Amino acid sequence: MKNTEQNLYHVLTTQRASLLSEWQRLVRHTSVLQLREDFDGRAPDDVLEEFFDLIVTQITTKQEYHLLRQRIFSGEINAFSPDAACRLLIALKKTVLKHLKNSTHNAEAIFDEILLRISAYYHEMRYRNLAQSQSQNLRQRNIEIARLLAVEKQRAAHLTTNNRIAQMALSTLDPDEIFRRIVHEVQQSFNYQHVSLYFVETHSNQMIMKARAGVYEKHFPEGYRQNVGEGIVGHVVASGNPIMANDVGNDPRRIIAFPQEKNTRAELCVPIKTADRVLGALDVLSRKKNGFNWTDVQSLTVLTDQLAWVIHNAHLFQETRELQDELVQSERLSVIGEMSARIAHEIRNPLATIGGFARSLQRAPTPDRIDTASRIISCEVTRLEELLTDILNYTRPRELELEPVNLPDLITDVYHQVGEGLEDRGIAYRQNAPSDLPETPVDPAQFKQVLINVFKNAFQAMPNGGKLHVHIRKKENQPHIEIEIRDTGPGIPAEIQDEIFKPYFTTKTTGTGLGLVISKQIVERHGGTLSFASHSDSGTSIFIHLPDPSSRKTL
Amino acid sequence: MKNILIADDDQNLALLYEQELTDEGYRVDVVHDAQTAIERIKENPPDLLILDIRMPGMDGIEALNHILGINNQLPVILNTAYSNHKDNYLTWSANAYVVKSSDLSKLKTAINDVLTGERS
Ligand SMILES: Nc1ncnc2c1ncn2[C@@H]1O[C@H](COP(=O)(O)OP(=O)(O)OP(=O)(O)O)[C@@H](O)[C@H]1O
Ligand SMILES: [Mg+2]
Repeated sequence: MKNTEQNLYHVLTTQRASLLSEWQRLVRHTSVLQLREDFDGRAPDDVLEEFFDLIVTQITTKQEYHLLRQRIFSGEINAFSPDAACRLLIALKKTVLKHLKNSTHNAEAIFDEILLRISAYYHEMRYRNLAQSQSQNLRQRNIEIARLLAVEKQRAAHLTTNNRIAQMALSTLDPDEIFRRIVHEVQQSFNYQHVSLYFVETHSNQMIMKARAGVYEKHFPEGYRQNVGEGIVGHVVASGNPIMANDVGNDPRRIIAFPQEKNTRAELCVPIKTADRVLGALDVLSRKKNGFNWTDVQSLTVLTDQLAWVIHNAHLFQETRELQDELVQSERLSVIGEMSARIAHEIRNPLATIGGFARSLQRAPTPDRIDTASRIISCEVTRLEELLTDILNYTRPRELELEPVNLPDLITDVYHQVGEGLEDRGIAYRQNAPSDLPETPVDPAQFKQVLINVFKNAFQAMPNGGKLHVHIRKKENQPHIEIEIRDTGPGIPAEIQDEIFKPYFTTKTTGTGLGLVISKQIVERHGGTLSFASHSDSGTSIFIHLPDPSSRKTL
Repeated sequence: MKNILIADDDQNLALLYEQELTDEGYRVDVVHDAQTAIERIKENPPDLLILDIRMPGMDGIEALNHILGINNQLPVILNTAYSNHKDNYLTWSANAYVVKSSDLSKLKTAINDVLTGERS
């Protein structure tokens, strides 16, 4: 036996590389059918063929097969990656089928099944790795961007010159809004005839007017464009140097966009640039010839330096937002995945039970069977109905339809409904209420749902029986009616107390983890609260507070 | 008569299996969690174990590894509501994997296959 294993081990390690590349080639076929065909034995690849043959000669008894299987899966032969283990298992099964069963079984079907599983496993692994590395990437980039943003913000805070603009840039992070405000601010504080802000669009080698303020506000069409290299602004962007054209009427570089622009006699344009790139330009106009001097150039340059980082920030901001969206989306998907697994489980069990008993009745409708089957079927149907109500309530809360209700009666009803079939579980029920309790406005259907969930939890907490006490109280000078539902189960452990109101949190194997979330939602929509107290040695109390109708008479 | 041990926390479903498999002529024993199943196997190994995956405490996959550690000859059929466990290669050491369904014929065929396969 030892020998067999050593041989196998040797074979596997020496062939692992070629097998791996072979395997990679195989899994590249996304279609399972294709994969199956590849394996189906008509023309297996040389490597695998050889490999299978080797295994076939190594393992000849079922004993050997089992031992090896055991050792592979216990991780003892951990030189195998999961995929190597899978391949080995295929080979083993094949051997077993060939040698031990004389193909009385549908060997091909079994083999197909294994391949199907392997390919499913592979796709999942690949997908998982991908998703994992992607979300890790996203997170990392997010952190990096957040860090950069923080640094930039700090830098902004230090720039006290022109700090109104710096503040403006910080107070809103919507880039378009920032640009619009800056342009207006410049136009007003320097009283320029007109101010425009241009951005370079690299792929088209054009400049787009992003924001404008002043007399021509109405004249420039939305999204006005100009080629880099043309006009005053085009020259500035092309060269990266400011241009002060104090007699623009006679400047050969000038382009007139519309007739009224002739009223402009001077133009000053300053580039917006980072160390290595011109991002755009700020262009200001004056109706006076010689309307600009070097002070204008200087103050506008200070401004465009700031604009450069505002733009930089805006890009980062945009990117962060997109990344966050992606992140949220991928987390949402994983929640949906988890949820559908749970729901699939929650539905399939009762369905199998219901159908199974129905079939058994069809075959042999003996009296005692009818008894058990009908009891179980109706119980499982209730379970499905509750599940559906839970899911619907959670995803799509209904409007409340309030009507005055006698709470003690409603609670007794629900207790009997939930407790049906549980009498023999040894649960002692007691309920008390003040005699002067007013009728309370609730949505009966939805409030019943709350009680069902809470009672169910209590029953589930006391599988071996216990006491269930419901106290309805109306305290003097408190504006609510209190319903306490107390069980003598194990209580709610401190470490999960923060979790129990989260959707899909459950410690049970049959449960959606929606019960308390929905109940709380419903009670809160009634204007009340739902809370709990856990007494580790004496069970759990759920407190439902509903607005006291008698204290709301004024409404 | 062959002995079958069923480990499933869903009591009603377990009852169905018990009734149906008894009709098929097996002797059936039911437990509701993995820990008890392991104890039962140590005391008195059945001819076949039908194991649910999602159970409170130890789940079926973990249990499977324990059980094969105790007795790797014991045939095991995994029976679960959620088909995606199939992709977990840890489940492949079971002799069969049957998704829960109201139609028990798949399960019965698997039981028969596994039990007769053992005889050879
Ligand atoms: N009365 C109680 N005693 C002890 N633990 C409780 C009690 N009520 C709730 N819990 C804990 O809070 C968790 C969340 O309860 P919740 O009702 O929201 O979901 P669930 O009961 O697990 O599933 P579902 O209600 O969908 O069947 C439970 O899994 C349980 O751990
Ligand atoms: Mg619950």
